[in-house]
Amino acid sequence: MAELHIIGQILGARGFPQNSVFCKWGIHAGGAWRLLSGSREGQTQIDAPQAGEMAYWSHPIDLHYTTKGLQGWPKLHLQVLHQDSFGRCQLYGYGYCHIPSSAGHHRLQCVTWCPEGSWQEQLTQSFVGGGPQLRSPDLIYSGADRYRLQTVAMGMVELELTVILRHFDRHGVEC
Amino acid sequence: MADGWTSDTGEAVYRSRDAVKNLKIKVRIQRVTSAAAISQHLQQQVLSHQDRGGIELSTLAPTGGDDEEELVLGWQEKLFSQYEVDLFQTEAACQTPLDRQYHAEIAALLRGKGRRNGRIFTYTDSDRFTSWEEHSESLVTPGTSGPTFLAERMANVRHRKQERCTGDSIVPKSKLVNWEPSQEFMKNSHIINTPVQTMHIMGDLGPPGKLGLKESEHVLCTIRAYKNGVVTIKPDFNNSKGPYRLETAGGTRELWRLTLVNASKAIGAEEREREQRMYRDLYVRHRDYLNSLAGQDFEMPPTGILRLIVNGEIVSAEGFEYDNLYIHFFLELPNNWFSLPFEPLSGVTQTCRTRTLGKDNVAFFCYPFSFESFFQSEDESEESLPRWPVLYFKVLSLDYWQRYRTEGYGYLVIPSAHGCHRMTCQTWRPVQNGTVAELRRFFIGGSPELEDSSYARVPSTFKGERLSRLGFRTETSGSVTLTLHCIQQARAFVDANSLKKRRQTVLDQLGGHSQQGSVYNVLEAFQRARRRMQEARETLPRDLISTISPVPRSSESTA
Amino acid sequence: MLMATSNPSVFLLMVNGQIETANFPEYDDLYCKYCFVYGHDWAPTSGLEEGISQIASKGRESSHDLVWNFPLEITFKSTNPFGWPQIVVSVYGPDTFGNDVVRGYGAVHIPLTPGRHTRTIPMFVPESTSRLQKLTSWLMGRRPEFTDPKVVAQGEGREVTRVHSQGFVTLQFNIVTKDMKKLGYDTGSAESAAGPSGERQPYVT
Repeated sequence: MAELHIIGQILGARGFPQNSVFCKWGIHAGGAWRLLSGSREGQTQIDAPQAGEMAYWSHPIDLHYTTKGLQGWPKLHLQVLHQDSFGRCQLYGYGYCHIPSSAGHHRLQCVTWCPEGSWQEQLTQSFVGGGPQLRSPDLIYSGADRYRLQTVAMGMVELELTVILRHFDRHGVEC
Repeated sequence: MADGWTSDTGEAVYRSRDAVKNLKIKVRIQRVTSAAAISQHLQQQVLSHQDRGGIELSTLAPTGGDDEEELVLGWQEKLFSQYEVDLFQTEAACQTPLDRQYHAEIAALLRGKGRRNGRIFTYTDSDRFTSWEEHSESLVTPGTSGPTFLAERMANVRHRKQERCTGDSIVPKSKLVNWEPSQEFMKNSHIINTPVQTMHIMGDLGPPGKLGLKESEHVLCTIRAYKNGVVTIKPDFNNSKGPYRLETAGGTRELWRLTLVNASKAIGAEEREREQRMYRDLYVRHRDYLNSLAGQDFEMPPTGILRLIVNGEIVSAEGFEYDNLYIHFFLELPNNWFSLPFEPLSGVTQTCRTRTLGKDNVAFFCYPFSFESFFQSEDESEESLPRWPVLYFKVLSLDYWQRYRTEGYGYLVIPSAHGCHRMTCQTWRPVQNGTVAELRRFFIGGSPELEDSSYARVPSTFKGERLSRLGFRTETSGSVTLTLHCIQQARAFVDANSLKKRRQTVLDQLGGHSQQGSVYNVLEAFQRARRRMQEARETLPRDLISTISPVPRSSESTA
Repeated sequence: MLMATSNPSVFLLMVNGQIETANFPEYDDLYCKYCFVYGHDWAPTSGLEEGISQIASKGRESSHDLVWNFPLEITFKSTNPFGWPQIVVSVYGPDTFGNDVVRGYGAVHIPLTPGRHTRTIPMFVPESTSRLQKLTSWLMGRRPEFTDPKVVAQGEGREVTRVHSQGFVTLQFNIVTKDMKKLGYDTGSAESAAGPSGERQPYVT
């Protein structure tokens, strides 16, 4: 048995078409992993920054995992959404990052992408919003069926995570 | 005599789970006989002559030992000053219930055995002084006109001493935000409102026989007890340090020595032992509980085998000529490396339209891959070190007519160091001479391709001594960024003690030889994946993407 | 601590630092208060859990920064890193009509690795979606506020909040931990804190 602590923040995002965005996040880990404490998913506040293009969420993350194996190291997946002035939400991007396996402080930049529709869809999208979304969100953090997608590059989400490892060295693991 | 003064009169912070009422402080003040003592003595005589009316006063003052006083004070224990005795003796001066209570207490004292204090007295939390002092005392010189609004507000709230629940209260979701905060709410929330009780230990440092003057009152010590168990004392207990120095202002400059000692009853040895045992038990039980949740077993590779897990991500590609990029990649395992069956060692990303960032067009893939492989050294030849797996990739672009163009080739050797690695790989693509080829690339799509992607490094079939790419023309194209999180596991690491030793063990124990890679299997898998992708292109991505209005897409096949 | 040092069951986290500066280009005469939010396994053993700064104005010549230089000093003990303490800072100051209003809330985890760290935290205030409410709150000097500033250190229940970020507060920390290694916790060495993933930021524009 070995323990993993992930402590940090989803700082914010930038580079999206509108800067008033929020984020839904979740953690996915393999079968050998067990979450002892902390919440495995959440949603940030909606920030409308006063100046600058970066939206800040400062959303805290504090997770305590225990594991029997190394497979399925946790991954953090994100969906960035925009809420317009009518309260409607529009998908702005999907992204994920591997939780760093080395102990210490990590500042991560998670790039995001968004499925792209045909030009007709893009046209309607620019008037009424909406747009294509993934049918199953596990495609965000798996590579299996990605090649069937046509996407467009979106903004970036910044994270600050500190990883604490415990007893991995007892089992001969160098992370 | 005057040496060893303590000049640091800063505040000290203590934490106690014990009730603050058990706090006891021993205060000692002593006058330092100065050179001016004689003149003072004379002056004092003169003064006492003038002061004939105050016979009662002098009888009340403790006789003898006026230069020195020592008292043990309890928390919020009220000791009256001469001034207060004089004031509250007359019932007419009493206005508040507290005043009347003091009047009764003083009357009882006078009837009884008299006061036990002389110069030392206290102002408790309920006294007017305590609230007045915080207002009036200026922190800067010369004193400013008045307290800031913040100070006023703090004083108002702090003395309310409301019983507030200190446990972390869970704010219901719907009431997370107070949309129209009232004045009262703002007053309370903009400042610290932890209830606090204050006590001042004062000294009347007036000349002998002339006690009871407001001007000669000095704060000896201020103690604050917060609801959360914090006790602050300013100045701190002297403990082993020298006494504090007090100088009276005004015409009679006198020097006093102040000593503060914590006289609270210490915890008994037995009790302490019990408490420690209790904590130890608690911690051990807590730890056992956590351990039981975590379990004990952990997977382990067999002896002599190094397990390498790479969690990787193809982050982005930038600086390529055409838009709508996608990346093919595959992993080559050198000899003596094994992977689990059914482990996909290759993949294809989605097609991504780029965006402009700075000077370059960037495509974001955020494509995850992870693989697990095992290394086993067959024989111990000291000459060579193990070769590490290599990741080959090819960047392609897809245009509106579903034609693809080769944009770049690159490779990356998986780092042999464990940990996180962010790597940016430069790529190139083969070109044919002449404008015709470029025009063909532009109009028709398709472009020279490598027969075998491993040509990007040392071709897998290469047997010669020196690699030559003579006669082969390439053009520099963009770069691909990847992050890799490498985890290594081996039994050998467990036994090793220091990190340095561990490193050596890796090489010593696992150090084998480098041979040709078993690239063919991988290539085959890669071709399979490519076929699968092409098949998928033909059947449209309709089932994967839910759209508002599904419109059939042009389905020209690749040129 | 209470335990024999050979077999500790708690570790200590010693925090020394300061709330150094704030950058609020549009506001002046600000003060801040801080408090800590931590999990159930944590307890402060010494130092102050909360504090309120002086009112600071911007320098005449200097940039947008205003300096508080307000000290932080606290020691925690815990059995488990879960619930690692966060510092919550809230900033207040007068609006154009002299009403004392909130200018920002922000929170950050106390750095987990020993050494000296600087953290710049973004500050934000809750914002109403209705334009009318925005106007009245501006006129009345009654901006929306969090019921308890500590909610900004919680991950739950944030989805209903709409905020508006403005300004930054810079904090400095000197961190010392004791017995974390002995308990088997690997927080990475000081070098790895500025390692490859910490250093490279290819997309900073």
